[in-house]
Amino acid sequence: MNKIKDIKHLLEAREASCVEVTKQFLSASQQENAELNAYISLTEETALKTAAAVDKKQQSGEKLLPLEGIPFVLKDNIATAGLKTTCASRMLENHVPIYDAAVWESLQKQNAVLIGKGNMDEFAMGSTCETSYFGGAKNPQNTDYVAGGSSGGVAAAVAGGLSIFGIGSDTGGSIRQPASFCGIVGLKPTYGAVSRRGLIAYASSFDQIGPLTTCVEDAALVFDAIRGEDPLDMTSRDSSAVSDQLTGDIKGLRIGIAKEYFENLPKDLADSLQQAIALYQSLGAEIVPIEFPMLKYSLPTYYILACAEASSNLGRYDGIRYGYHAEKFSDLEDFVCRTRSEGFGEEVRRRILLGTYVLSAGYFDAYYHKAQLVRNSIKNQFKTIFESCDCLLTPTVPLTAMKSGANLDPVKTYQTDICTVTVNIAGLPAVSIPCGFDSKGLPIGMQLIGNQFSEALILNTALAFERETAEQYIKTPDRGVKL
Amino acid sequence: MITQTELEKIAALAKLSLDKEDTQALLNDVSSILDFANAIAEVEVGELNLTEEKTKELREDIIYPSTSVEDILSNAAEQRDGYFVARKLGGLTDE
Repeated sequence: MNKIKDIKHLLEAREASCVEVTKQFLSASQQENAELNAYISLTEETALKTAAAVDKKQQSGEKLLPLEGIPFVLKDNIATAGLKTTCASRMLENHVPIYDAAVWESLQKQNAVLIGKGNMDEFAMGSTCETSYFGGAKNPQNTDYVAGGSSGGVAAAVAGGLSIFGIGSDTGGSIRQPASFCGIVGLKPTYGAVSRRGLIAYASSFDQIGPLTTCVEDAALVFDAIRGEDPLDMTSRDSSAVSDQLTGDIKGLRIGIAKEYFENLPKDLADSLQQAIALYQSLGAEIVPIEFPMLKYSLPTYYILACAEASSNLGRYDGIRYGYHAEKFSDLEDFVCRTRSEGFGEEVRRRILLGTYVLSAGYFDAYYHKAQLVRNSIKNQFKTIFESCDCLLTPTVPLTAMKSGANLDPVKTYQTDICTVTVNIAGLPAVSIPCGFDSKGLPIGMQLIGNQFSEALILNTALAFERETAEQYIKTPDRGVKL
Repeated sequence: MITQTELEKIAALAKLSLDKEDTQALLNDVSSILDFANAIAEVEVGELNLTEEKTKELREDIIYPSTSVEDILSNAAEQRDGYFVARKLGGLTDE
């Protein structure tokens, strides 16, 4: 698969100009989008303007920055001033933000080339990309299957050879799960490592922005470019660069295996994960058995708290200051209700209702307050776990991609998030990397979870695996740009 | 687990209209999600320890240019003289 260094090489060796490379990616994206539906919009003008600036800099002999000239896709819940940002919702179908998200500012400073805005589940609520108002994104590995969610379009663009890297958001697994389904790398950083300014909020104490890439080295490069404390996001913190800490050496590393993550796994997934564990042992890691009895409470805890926060965050959509608005109504109250009911899709309305319920008088203590206590308990359990091991190895998802249009009922869909949500509950970093294929040829993902601000450790652990297995497990797509 | 009346009350709080046809499906969905969420009732956890003293860190009150009124109004359905307009009548009478 195409990597950042492949583009760098082309540009530095003057084998192609940035404008030429950009045109290739724009053209491939345009062509493939009819089938993959990875992008909600392509940002041709912005891309070519940036590419021209990169070429000018290149001609002047100045050294290029790490992400300079690299084509990428930005999930469409990240604000880009002057460019439509829709959250894949009718509510924001024509919305043009008036300010840039912090992450977009950082990438503009590096002259990274924005190819387009990535398709996603509506307001980041979903696990298939199919709640998108613009239809779901397809899995480039097999287009009968979903790309996953909620950063499905971003994953599809990267895995389909249409962008070199992507920026997604992860509230309960929305970077890692589509990365797992599409056979690429997805990193959810520690809560606070990347500013959330300009990320259109779903659940503010869970949301985090992170990279989707075709290799671990690229995930590290992108993370380094986007991390950092932002005075306009009080939950953000500075952290150290990780790219220069990756050696691939994991001798003596203690990898925790919690049996609760491996219960009832389909055979091909169980086998892949066992092989991965055996490989790590052969590379010098120590495997430590771990207990995680609180795991089974993480899904209800997540859905209670995330929906509560979502009901509060989405309260701002009233049709008056921005967004969709009802045309016919009887009074102001009716205007707001119709606007919201017509502007939001089914899954979003469901989660708002659930969130409102758990916050309402009479239910607040049993649900919201109790979930806060369970959240705290899960965080404490992780503290104990990380006394005995350096990272946890788990499946990313207990299944591979679902068929498009499978339309599982809400609870069955929520249950597939079991391996990913705990990470957001505790605000920890986690990376998903490809570790095999199932009997249908669909990618299987392995997740590494670390303690707070241990991105270097989990990426290094991922790199060690990738070095041994990339040729087997990272499948170049038969579409997209071939450099 | 959740009644029709409760659902209507929650919808009103959330400023969402309930379409008459899909109320039953919604009731079933929300009820099954609440059953699923109720799993936390069985776990015993301690109360949060909120007695830690924290110092307040306030930033300096420095004035800097902020967003223009023109930009803020640029996405509004309707605006007049620098104000957002929220219409009170919209062609339908109360049913």
